Amino acid sequence: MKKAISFIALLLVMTLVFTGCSSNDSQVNTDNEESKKVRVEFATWAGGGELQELQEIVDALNAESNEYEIEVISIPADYYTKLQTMIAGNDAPDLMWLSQEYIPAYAELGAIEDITTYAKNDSSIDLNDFYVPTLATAKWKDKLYGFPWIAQPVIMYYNKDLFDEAGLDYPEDITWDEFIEMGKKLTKDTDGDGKIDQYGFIVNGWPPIHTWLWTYGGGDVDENGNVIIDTPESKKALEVLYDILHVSKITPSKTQIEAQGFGEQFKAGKIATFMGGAGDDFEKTVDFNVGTTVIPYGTERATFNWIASTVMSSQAENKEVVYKALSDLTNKFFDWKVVPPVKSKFGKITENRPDKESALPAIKASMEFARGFNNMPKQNEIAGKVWDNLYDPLLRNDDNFDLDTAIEETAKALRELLAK
Amino acid sequence: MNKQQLRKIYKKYEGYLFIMPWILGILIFFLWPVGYAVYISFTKWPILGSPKWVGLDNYITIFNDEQFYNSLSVTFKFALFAIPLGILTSFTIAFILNSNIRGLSFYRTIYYLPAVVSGVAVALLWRWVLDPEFGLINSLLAMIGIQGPGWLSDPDWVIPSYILVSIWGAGGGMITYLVGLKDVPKNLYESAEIDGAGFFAKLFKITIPMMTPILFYNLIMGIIGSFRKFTDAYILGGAGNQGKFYLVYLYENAFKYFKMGYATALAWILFIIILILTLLVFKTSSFWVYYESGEE
Amino acid sequence: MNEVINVEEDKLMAIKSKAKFKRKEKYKKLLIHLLLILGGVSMMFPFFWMVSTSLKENALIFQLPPKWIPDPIAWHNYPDAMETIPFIRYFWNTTVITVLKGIGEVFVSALVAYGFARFRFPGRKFLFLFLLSTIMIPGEITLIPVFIMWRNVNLIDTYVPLILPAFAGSAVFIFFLKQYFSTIPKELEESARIDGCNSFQIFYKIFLPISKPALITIGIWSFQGSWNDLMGPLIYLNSYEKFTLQLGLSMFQSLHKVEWGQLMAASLMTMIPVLIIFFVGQKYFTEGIKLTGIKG
Repeated sequence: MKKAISFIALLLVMTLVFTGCSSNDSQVNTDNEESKKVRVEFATWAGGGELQELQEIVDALNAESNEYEIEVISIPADYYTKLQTMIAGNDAPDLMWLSQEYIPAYAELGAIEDITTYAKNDSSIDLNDFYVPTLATAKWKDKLYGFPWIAQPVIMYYNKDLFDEAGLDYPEDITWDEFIEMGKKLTKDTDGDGKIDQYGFIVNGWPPIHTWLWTYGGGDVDENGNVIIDTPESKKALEVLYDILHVSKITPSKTQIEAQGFGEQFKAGKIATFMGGAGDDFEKTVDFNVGTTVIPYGTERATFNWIASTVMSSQAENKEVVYKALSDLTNKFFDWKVVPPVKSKFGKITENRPDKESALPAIKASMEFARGFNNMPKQNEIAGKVWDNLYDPLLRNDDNFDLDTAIEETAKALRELLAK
Repeated sequence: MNKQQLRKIYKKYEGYLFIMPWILGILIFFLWPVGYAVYISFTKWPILGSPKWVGLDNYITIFNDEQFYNSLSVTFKFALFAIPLGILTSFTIAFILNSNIRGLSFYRTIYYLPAVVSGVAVALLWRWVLDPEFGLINSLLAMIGIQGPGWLSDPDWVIPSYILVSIWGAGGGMITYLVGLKDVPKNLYESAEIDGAGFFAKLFKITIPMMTPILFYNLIMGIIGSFRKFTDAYILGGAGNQGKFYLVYLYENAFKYFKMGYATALAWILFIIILILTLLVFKTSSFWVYYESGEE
Repeated sequence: MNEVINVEEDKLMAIKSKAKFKRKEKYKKLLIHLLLILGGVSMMFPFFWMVSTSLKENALIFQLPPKWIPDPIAWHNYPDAMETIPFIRYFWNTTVITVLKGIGEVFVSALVAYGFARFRFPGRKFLFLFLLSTIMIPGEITLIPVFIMWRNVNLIDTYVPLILPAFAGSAVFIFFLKQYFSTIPKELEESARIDGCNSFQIFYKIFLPISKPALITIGIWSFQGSWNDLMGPLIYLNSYEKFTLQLGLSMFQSLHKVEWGQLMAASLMTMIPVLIIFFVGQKYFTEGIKLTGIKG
């Protein structure tokens, strides 16, 4: 009995010790406030090495500034779940990274701050220096909500050795039709066991379906929120994709990709062409000769641009100082990531990433026509409907799959969704 | 009031002394959040803004939502097979691992292994095990000349895949039975043997009846667990909506589609379904659960 | 004379049948071993695969046909993994949380379960159903209100929200222990009561020691649950240096790149403590105080 009581007492003490620790923490914070530096919380999904690089940038800024002290909050999993919980709990980080799809919803719901005026009066950031389609993803209803810090267009990597071996010209600046012809010649059985072990191309849901839709002048939803997935342009684009997947069959099956990896198969020299982000590091990680070029075109040129922005929470106190931190961070990010979202820093790419030297022309050309989605507040649901009703069935191509029906159903689902 | 009356009252309420920590926990950590969640289910709440009262709208919408019925049927189908198969497998493993053989600790740990793997590793693991061409299962099937199915990429095989995954982890449930089996009095077996009872007679007349409280626990937890299945389904997915378990759909609504009010209403519907099933099991329990302590 | 012969024959028969019986036992055991090894190998596969993957260079992970023994063996994944994340520090953080939580969950759950199993207080049935229903509510919908609660008392980014609720007991463990306690015969405590023990003493001196296997079971569960918990630490911890191992594991996966070898190495190192706890704990399923002795 005595033992039990002392045991419980011990537990209570331990709990108190821990509670004690935390109240000490908040005292440290008040000390900081006394030194007049505003604490700025900054949420990021960066992990591992990327987080360490980010921490260095932040440490340098903190040392320079006498206004703010940035504190990095690393969220290594379920980023948006935690972020939204924090915002709903009125404990939002002052600054956060958002992928382009989330900006309209966050803006519409009042979670992030309109920084249009701040940006206008900020001499350290030139808005005209941003690529126009890139900056557009940080805007909603003509108001600016943040600064893009990365803009990675999809470019085409190819295995020069496989092209040389087949006696083909490199796929520089070609149409989708030429791409398919070329792919057929590169899809073959190399060791004579009756199984195909080399493919012209690979697709598993990446690159986005817009890669085809846009290059034929189609799309899923236009910038005004009208559904355009069933226009003749979009249909043509999807037929080309269907040809690649199931008629000319120049890519491995979806299940095969799940087993053998996606980028890994390209690295292993079994895939001739690969649509990758401009920042991928194939140049230094593969042991064959890599070429880079723009993606094929149909009736026009376009490519998907993966863009993320740093935005400010509408719950932030001391907004001026937080904006200052945002602006300073953004300027540092321009020197950090491939590809920087501003034109003037294009030449900087090779300073951090000398391996990207040979890819510069392809990246530069791609940035001219690369763009983000026409993001809507219901962007996740739009993407979900397109995936469930169209892209995923198209990739799987079950016995009862019919492209026209799938397009019709997708259009119907999207119209219903957007009418609400 | 005399001493004896006081004693009587004390005796009557003595149990509360023991369950007090839990009651305090409920009052402090539980009542407010759950009350809040009830309120939220009657609102439209995009998480980032403030909740707007919409009355029964969410509940009405649910009954016209195709995806709701799909998720519910996926979850029901899974539960229908996974619960009995899971109980059967873990009981069998425990039964064998309760015998007197050499290397028992070793075997037990091995059978517990699949239940220990966690996080990202699980998803990778199952992707590899279930892969149609190079996966462990289909490679083994190919050895005996059977062409295995597409598992997660074939809509008809998605639910069977998840059932398989859950059975693989049945070693986790094994330990509840191990604990119970140890406590079946040996003299019961001895007297049964004298009466000439065989293996099956002993199993069905002694072992299983003595294990019913533990079986009852596993049945209830099996129901709750299958209906709340989330992690592996969320990571692994599955073709043609067949991997969209109820909680996966709920989670998508809450955190991806900014429909917390709707998601909360979904949660309460699920709660009522689980509660009804549990109450049904409880009602039948007096017919088949045997408590040594003579509990009703 | 005849009688003597008969007796001798009987003896001989007895010896013969005993030998036959022994041989039969031997075959039976051999068969069990064979079955166990076969099942065990399939249970071990995931583990082999993790070990093999953890020793591969990133480029060779998806090699075909898959090689079980990597060439070259990339031992460096282990030290690399411990450098990519502050492994030792996270290990310590996770240990602190797990141990404190475990103490609370095991002890308090046992106390509450005893209250439910052995006292007939008014409202008991209702409260027990209430206890079960708390398990049925999906945590996703209470996530935000609970977070708001902890923020209001300024305890975000501390271990308190992770540990303190454990001291109200865990509903699942209470349920399991209550079921287990119900298998313990009443006579046991009655004799103690005659000896003058009060209810708490009976709990402490009889129930706790007797239930060692069950307590160890929930101890293992509690350990495993806290050790592998991702959502709790993810939501409540903000500072990098306060993170746990599961948060660390998710850091190996960034948006475009996964360090497979390191991830598997770190996953394995994370798994090992759980396996050790299980290996040590499961011994008590055979060595714990057996009820048979007391009952007989």
